[in-house]
Amino acid sequence: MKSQVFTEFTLTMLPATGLFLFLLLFIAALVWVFRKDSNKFYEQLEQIPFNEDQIRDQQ
Amino acid sequence: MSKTTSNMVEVSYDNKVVKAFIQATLLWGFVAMLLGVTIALQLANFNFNFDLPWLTFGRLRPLHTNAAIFAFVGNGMFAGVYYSLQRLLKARLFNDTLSWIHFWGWQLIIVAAAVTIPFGFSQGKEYAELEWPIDIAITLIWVVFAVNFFGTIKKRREKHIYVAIWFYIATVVTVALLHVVNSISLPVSFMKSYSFFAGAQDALIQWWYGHNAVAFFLTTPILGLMYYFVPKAANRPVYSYRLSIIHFWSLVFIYIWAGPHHLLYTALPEWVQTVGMAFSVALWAPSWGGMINGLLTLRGRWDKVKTDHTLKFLATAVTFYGMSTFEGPLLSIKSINAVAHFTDWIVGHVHAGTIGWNYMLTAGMLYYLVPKLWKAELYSPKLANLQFWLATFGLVLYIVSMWVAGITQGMMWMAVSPESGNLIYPHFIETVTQIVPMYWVRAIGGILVLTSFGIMIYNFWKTIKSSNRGSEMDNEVAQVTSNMDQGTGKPKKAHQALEGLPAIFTILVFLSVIVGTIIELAPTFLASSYIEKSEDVTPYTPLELLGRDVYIKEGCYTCHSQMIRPMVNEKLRYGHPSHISESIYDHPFQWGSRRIGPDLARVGGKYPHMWHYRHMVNPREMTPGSIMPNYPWLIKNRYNLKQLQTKMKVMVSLGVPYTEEEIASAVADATSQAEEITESLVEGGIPAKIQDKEVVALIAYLQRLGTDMQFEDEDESDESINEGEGE
Ligand code: HEC
Repeated sequence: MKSQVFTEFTLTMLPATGLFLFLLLFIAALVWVFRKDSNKFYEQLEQIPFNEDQIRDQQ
Repeated sequence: MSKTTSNMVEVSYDNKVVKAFIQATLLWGFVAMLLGVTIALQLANFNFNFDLPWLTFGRLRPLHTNAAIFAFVGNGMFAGVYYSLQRLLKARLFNDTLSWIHFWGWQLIIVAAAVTIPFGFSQGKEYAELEWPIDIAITLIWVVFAVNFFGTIKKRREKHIYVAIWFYIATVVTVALLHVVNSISLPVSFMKSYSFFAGAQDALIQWWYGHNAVAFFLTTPILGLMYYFVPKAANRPVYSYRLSIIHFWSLVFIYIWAGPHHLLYTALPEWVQTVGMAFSVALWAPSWGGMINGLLTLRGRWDKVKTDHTLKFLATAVTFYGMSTFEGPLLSIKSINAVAHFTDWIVGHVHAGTIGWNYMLTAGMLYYLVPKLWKAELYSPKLANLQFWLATFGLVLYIVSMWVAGITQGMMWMAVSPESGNLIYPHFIETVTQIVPMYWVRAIGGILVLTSFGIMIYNFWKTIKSSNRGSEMDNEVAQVTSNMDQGTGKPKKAHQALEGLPAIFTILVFLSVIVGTIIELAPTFLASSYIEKSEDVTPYTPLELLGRDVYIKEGCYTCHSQMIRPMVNEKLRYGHPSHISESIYDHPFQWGSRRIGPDLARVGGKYPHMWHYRHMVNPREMTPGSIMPNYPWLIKNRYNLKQLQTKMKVMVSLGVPYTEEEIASAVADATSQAEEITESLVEGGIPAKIQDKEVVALIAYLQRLGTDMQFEDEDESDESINEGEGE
C-alpha cells in the first residue's frame, strides 16, 4: 500500500517539478537578460563576430 | 590606449582541417542523398530492391538516415564549428593532432557504418543501428572533439563567449549523454549485441534519444552556425542578442522533454504522453523566437538576399526551420498525431527539417566558406542559382507528396463505416497502392534535390581548381586584440579563463538536460507499470529468438510496427490494443515508427506457415500490388545455431527468465520446432532441407507475435478505446 502511494505521488510530482524548474529558469533568464544597464554589454557581445582585426597569410 | 597595443597578439587559425571537413561534407552529403533516392525508388517500385540482401529497403534505410544525420550534417557541423570557434575566441584550435584524429576518426566511423549496416549488422534501434564496437568508437571520437573544443575555449583571447558557442556547448554535452545511454547493450559477439533495455523502457529511451538527436545534432549546432554565419554574411549583428539567450535556454530545457511525442497512443502510461505533448507544443515558442531572430537580422537586407547566394540559402533555411518547428508541435497534438503517426506525413516533416533547414543552411555556409578558404572566386553564380531552385522545388515536391500520401493513408486506415461498424478499407494493400503515385512524385523530388547537390559539388570543384594553389590559406594569421584581462594587459592564465562563465555555463546546460532526462526516464525504473509482468507472457523459444534476430537484421521494423494503438479502427484491423507487458522481453523493442506495411503485433496465427513462406519469397504472390521486397536469400541462408546458447545467456543477464535446462536443451528445442514448421511446409510441396534456413526461424517468430495474452473480456476492454479517434 505504502509503496503504491509513494509511486503515485512521485509520478504526478515529477512533471510538476519539471515545469516549476523550467519556469524558475525562464524567469531567472528574463531577469538576467533585462537587468539594468546591460545594453552596453549586449552591444559589445553582438559585435564579437566582427572583431576580426587584421588577417594575413602565413608564409 | 597603449594597453591595446600590448594586447595585440598573432594567432594562426587552422583552416586546413576546416577544409577537410568541408570536402567530407560534400562527399557524404551526396552519398546520403543518393541512398535516399534509392530507397524512395524502392517504395515506388519494389524491383529497385534488385533481390540483393545488401540493397534492400530494410537495410539501406538505416544507412540513409545515419549517413544524412551523422555523415552529412555531422561533417558540415564540424567544419562550421571549427571555423567559427577559432574566430569567435581568437584562438587556434586547441591541438592539431586532436583535430586530425577527430577528422579521420569520424570518416572511419562512417566507412564502418557503410560496410556493416548493409550486411545486416544492426542493433535494431532507429538512428542508433550501429553495432557496439562502432558505438564505442563514436564515444571516443566525440571525447576527442570535446577535449579539442573545450581546450580551445580554455586558451581563448576573447573574454566573452558569443551565443553561437553556447549552442555548440549544449551539443557537445548532450549528444554524449544521449549516445552513451541509448547505446548501452550487452555484446553477444564481436558484431552482435542486445539492448540493455527492453519493451516500453527501451522505447522511451530510444525516443528520448531519437528526438534529441534531432534537437542536439540537427538543431542546436546548426542554430549556433546560424547565429554566426547569418550576421557575418549580412554584415550586421544579430537582431536581438537578448532574444538569443532566451531562445537558447528555453530550447535546451524544453527539447529534452519532447521525446514521448513519438509514442502517443502507445502502451506507455498516459501522463508520460501528456507531458511529451505539452512540452512539444511549448517548443513552438522558442523555435519561432530563433527563427524571428534569424530573419530579422536580415531586415533591410532583402535586396541582398536576392543576389547573394550565401544569404539566399541561409534565409531559406531559417524559413524552413520556422515551418518545420511549427509543424512539429502540431503533429504532437494527440488528435492530429492519431492520423499522422505511422504515415508519410512524419517522413515529409523530417525532410522539411533535414533538407529545408540542414541542407540549405549547410549550403549557405559553404558558399560563404569555400571562396574564402580557397581564396578563389565562385566558379558560377548561375549554377548556384540553379542549385537553389532545383533544391527548393524538389523539396516542395517532397513535402507536398508526403502530405498527400500521409493524410490519404491515415484517413483510409481510420475509415469505419457508420452503418456496419466495419473498416471501409479492410485490406491494407488498398491503402498502399493508393499512395504509390505519391512515392513516384517524392522520388522525383528527391532526384531534383540530389541533382542540386551534385551541381554544388561541381561548382565548388571548379572553384577550388581555379584557386591559386600557393595562396590557399591553410594557416591564416590574424593580429588580434586580447581582452582577457584589462588590468594587467596580459592574457589571464589558462585555468583562470575556464573558471569563469564557460564552466558554470556547461554545468548549467548539463543540469537542464539531466533534470529533464531524469524526470522523463526515472519512472521507467521506479514505477511498476513499466515492468508489469503478466503470467501469460513468456520468453521467446530458442528458434523464435533466432527468427527475431533475422527480423532485426533485415530491418523489417523500417516498414512494420508492432504496436496496436487503442483506437476502434486499429482494433478492427489488427486486434486488441498492445499491452505494455507484451514486449517486456523485447531487447530491443520493435514498436516501429512507420507502417509502410501493416502492424505485425498480432500477426501470429493469422496465416498458415505456408502463407508466410511464399510471402517472404515473393510477397506479390500472396498480395498482388505489394511493395514489400522479395527475400529469396532467407530460404538459402542458415540460421546460426552456434551462437544460440550465448544469446540466451546474454538474455538471462538482461533479466529474461530462461532456465538452465532451457539453455542446455536450446539447440535440440530449436531443431524440433523447426522440424514442426518444416513438416507443414513439406505438405505444401517445399523440400524438407529447408528446416535449417532463416525463413523457418522467421516464421516461428512471426507466428508467436501477440499470441501470449488472451483478452477474454472483449466488451469491457472496448471502453478503454478512444471512440472519438476512430471516426
Ligand atoms: C518496403 C517495406 C517493407 C519491408 C522492408 C518489409 N515489409 Fe512486410 N509488408 C510490407 C507491405 C507493404 C505489406 C502489405 C502487403 C503484403 O501483404 O505484402 C507487408 C506485409 C507483411 C506481412 C503480412 C501482414 C498481414 O497482416 O497481412 C508480413 C507477415 C510481413 N510483411 C513480414 C515482413 C518481414 C518479416 C519483413 C522483414 C524480413 C518485412 N515484412 C519487410 C512492406 C514491407
